[in-house]
Amino acid sequence: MKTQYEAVIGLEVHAQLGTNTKIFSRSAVTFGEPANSFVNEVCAGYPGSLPVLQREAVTLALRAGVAFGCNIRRKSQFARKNYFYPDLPKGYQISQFDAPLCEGGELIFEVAGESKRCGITRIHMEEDTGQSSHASDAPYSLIDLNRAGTGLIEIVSEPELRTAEEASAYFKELRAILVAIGINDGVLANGSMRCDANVSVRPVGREAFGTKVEVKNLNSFKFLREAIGFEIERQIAEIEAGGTIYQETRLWDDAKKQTFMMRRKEGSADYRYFPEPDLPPLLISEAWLAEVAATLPELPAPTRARLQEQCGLSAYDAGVLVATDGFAPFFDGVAALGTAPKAVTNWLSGSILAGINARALSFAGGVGFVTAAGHRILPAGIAELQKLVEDNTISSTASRTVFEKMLTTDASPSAIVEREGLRQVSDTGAIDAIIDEVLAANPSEVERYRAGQLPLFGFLVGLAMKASKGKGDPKLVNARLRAKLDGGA
Amino acid sequence: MSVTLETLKHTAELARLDLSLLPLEEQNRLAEQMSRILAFVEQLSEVDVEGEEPMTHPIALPTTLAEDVAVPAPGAAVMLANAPARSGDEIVVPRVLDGGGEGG
Repeated sequence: MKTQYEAVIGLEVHAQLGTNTKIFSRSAVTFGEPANSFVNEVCAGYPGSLPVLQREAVTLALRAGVAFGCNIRRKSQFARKNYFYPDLPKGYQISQFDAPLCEGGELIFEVAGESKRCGITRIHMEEDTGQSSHASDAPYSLIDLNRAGTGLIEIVSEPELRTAEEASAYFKELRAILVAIGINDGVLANGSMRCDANVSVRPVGREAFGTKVEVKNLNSFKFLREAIGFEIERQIAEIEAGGTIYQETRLWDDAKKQTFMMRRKEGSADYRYFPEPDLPPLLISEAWLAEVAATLPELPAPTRARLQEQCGLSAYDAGVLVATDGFAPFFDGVAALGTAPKAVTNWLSGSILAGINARALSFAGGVGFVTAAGHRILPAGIAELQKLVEDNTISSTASRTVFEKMLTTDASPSAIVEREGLRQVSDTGAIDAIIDEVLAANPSEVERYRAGQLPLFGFLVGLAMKASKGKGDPKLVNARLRAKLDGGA
Repeated sequence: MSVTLETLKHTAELARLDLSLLPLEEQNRLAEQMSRILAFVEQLSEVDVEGEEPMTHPIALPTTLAEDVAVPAPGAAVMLANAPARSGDEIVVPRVLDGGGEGG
């Protein structure tokens, strides 16, 4: 009988801590600035410079520890991880080794409609490296140290994931949690969150793990899923062909859709960890921890459940709200002002999402969205706009026009309606006059409609709406037109 | 503990030192000196530390934490003044493999 295999997957996720300054120096954390412009003597590793840990970075790391249900070590220690690489100026990375801040948590996530659990081994704090780049055929590399010293947490999972889909779903939920608790912007493309996967295979039923291969830099959900899927198949094929799996580090080649070997590990890496003598132990007081726990924002899974149970949203709508940055708090803000949940989700998944995709709007933390012109669209603005539709002041078509204007001006929806003359015409006499004009100007269409070409009704509605400059109450226009055509009025 | 030539070579490699040009006699002498240093430190094992928590720092300092407020950086021109080679505002180093360092 053919051997059945299963994969054993563990993920290591590095997430930048969204602080103003680096973890051990007061140089600003930036992105996309000119090379080496935000570097000081500490992040450049100048001799004699000393690291000083900052409070906010620890608070954010604690938030992650609490969110994943970890045990928080009240006395943790930083350690030096020694290795040579040009983007690591000191020759060692300040990390944590045998006394990490957080241990023993878990992450619950959904895959194909089923709930799964994966243990979190540990979450430790460390500093990021600089960045190296390589011109295509130059015999040298270039180093930019702006990123060096940025605070990171590394979240290490237990080897409890079994398929590429599970790994991808775990990473997605992990990202959603880190964004929800406000420690990371979740922008994978900027490297603010990065993922490495340890993958091995073994015959089903065997207890011992196979030799594991590390696939590094899987910085999109798609790469992660494809690379792990490929790696599982590659290892099974190798074993079936009588070959050997070597402990090595591989990278994903997205053009060829395959992993390739970066380096083979000969013996275990010798990082010579030892306690960082320049930093005293990190002591976490009960008061600090209690404050972090008490101020932890609502996590994605409870938010999804609440949106379904209390607001009557579908599982799909609740999922979209939670998965899109800024949507869930915005929804809560508008719904709290009395707007129907379905109307709020329509605004979010319609005009607001379109605005974000067109880069006319963006999420910049807090509640609300920032327009390209620099002002905020707040929940109160959308609540007011929707109310104008519901009390028939404007048509829903006009409401979208008002929203477009809100993107470029700081005026309230009501002010825009008055200024642009978008108030809906709901006066029967005025509508009748418009319809009479349209019917008089299109006698042949009227005749053909009455002879049985019923789809022409829509055409005539369109003409009437156009003649009203979009301001006619569509329901009233429909009703009056129907009365005049069918009732012979 | 006695430092063998093999341990000496491994330690040198980790420090990116090339001992291959050193006469064997000199290598043996280094290994012998390192053994003596280790033996000296080994005396500490005579102290009974049963039940004592390992100290990672010599002075029992309270955790001193800085506030998350940026201080202007000196700028690339100042920071790179000692760089052996530059290209624009970047440091030039011998070519390294794509895909980042050994650490994680």
